[in-house]
Amino acid sequence: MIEAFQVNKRFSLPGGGQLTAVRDVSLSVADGEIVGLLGPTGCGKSTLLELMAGLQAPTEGRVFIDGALALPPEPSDPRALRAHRRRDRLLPPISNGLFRDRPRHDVAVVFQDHAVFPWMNTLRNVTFALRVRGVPRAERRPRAIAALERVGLAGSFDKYPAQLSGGMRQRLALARALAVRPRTILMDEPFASVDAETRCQLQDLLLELWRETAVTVLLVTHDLHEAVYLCDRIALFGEEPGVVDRIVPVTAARPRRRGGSLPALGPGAAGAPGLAERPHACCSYGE
Amino acid sequence: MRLLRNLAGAVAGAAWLRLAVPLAVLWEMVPRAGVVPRTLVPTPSDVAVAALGLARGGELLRHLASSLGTLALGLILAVTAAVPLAVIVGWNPWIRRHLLPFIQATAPIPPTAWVPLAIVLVGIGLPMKVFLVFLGAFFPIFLNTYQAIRDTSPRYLVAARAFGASELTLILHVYVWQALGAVVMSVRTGVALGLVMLTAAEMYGGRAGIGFLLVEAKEFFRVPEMVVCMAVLGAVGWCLTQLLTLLQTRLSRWREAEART
Repeated sequence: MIEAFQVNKRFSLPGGGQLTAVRDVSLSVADGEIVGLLGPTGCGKSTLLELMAGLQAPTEGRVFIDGALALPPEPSDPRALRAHRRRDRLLPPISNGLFRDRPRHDVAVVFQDHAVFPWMNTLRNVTFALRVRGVPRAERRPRAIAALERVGLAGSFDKYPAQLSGGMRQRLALARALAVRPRTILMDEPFASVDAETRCQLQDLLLELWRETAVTVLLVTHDLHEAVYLCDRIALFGEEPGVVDRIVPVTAARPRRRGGSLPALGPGAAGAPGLAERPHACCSYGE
Repeated sequence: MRLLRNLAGAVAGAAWLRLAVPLAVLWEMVPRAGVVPRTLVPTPSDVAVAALGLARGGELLRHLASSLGTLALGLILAVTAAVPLAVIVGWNPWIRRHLLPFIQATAPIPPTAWVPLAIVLVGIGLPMKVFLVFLGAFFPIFLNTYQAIRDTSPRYLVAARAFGASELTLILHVYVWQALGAVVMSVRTGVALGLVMLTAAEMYGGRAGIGFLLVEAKEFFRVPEMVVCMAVLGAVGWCLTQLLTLLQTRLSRWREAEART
């Protein structure tokens, strides 16, 4: 369960101006739901994901992960904010502390560029995630092996990420996230950098895993078809950067047919101002 | 065995011998023909005779051992001080703001400029020599390691933190691995400068070491022995560099995998 209330995120630009990446977004992701953040590149959807993962502090508003504050917000007054950012602090706010491995929230993040560690082989990548999660030593290896086999990497335990294809690296990232059995998994355009066929396979894999584990998913994408195929609800970013135009439910029953388009967005979308008129503004149609 | 083969590989590559043999012959002929005075430019055979003489008396070995001991001590101290310090300074902005200016202010001083001060402070014994080798190696190792730590891709840090990694885990499992290649590279630079400082230290003060032997040979105008000392110092540097290259390829198997694809 992740809830964002009236979240704003502003960055100060080197020239002195301010960039609003996320503006007044309220969104809640219920347990077991797949929610999509859909919008064009640079619309602030990745920033919103990082806010909701507790990896960045909102400038205003609050984010709660399973009822706990994700990160304390930054002061809203610009002068106080400058002082806050300048303040000599030993550790950054997203740090987990000096010596004890312990996640602050029960979430796992899959990054767009997968961010698996190139100096660890696939098995080590997963056991490392389990280790910092505090999984007892004896359980790590079997769990990692099971997770890797589940995503189809059974034969590649001792391969380094550089020896894997892009799709396999993304599978590894998925295995690493799922092996820790988080309540929520946040994915930032996880399938954007693989070819169309691999993408379809990975989408189906995600749906299978979601059915098996009932994990909550928040998914960033710029592909309308992907969002319609995967999500229960879709938050649509509008033309204005950082603004969520509306949140539309996808009513089509699962398992869904691939290539569903606007009608599948359900009755709520029929009268959506802007969506039908300018679909190109909020989503690219993939390949 | 692999080590020996690697060490030999660079020499036995044979192509350079086509040039080296005629050059050696020329070097042998020119002083013998009296074109240049043989007292100033010793022939290879003169050098070989001098080397044999030095080696037979056990003198060369004694001085070499002294030099190697000093060098090893200084380098080990430099690595154990510079690498952890660089990691900590690179890791934490707060520590960086407080410590880095000191190091940046000291680093530009040419290490040889420390020689007089070191002699005044700790005399001309072993501590002075070790200290100077340490100084020569410390700054290149520190600065390169620091830079590599700073260059660590933030996405790995965010990923590790998102899974729950503490700062210590970040340092041991992310920063250090990212910087490992640069650390070994920087140690190679450190070895080169450490060798410079070793020679300088032994030439200025001390009763042992190849540098001392070199100055002694100069005092008695024994040019062939001077050449022997220079060759020995070069060989020491070369061997250490080869060793570190080998270590580097060993430690970065995952990078090799990266390069292959």
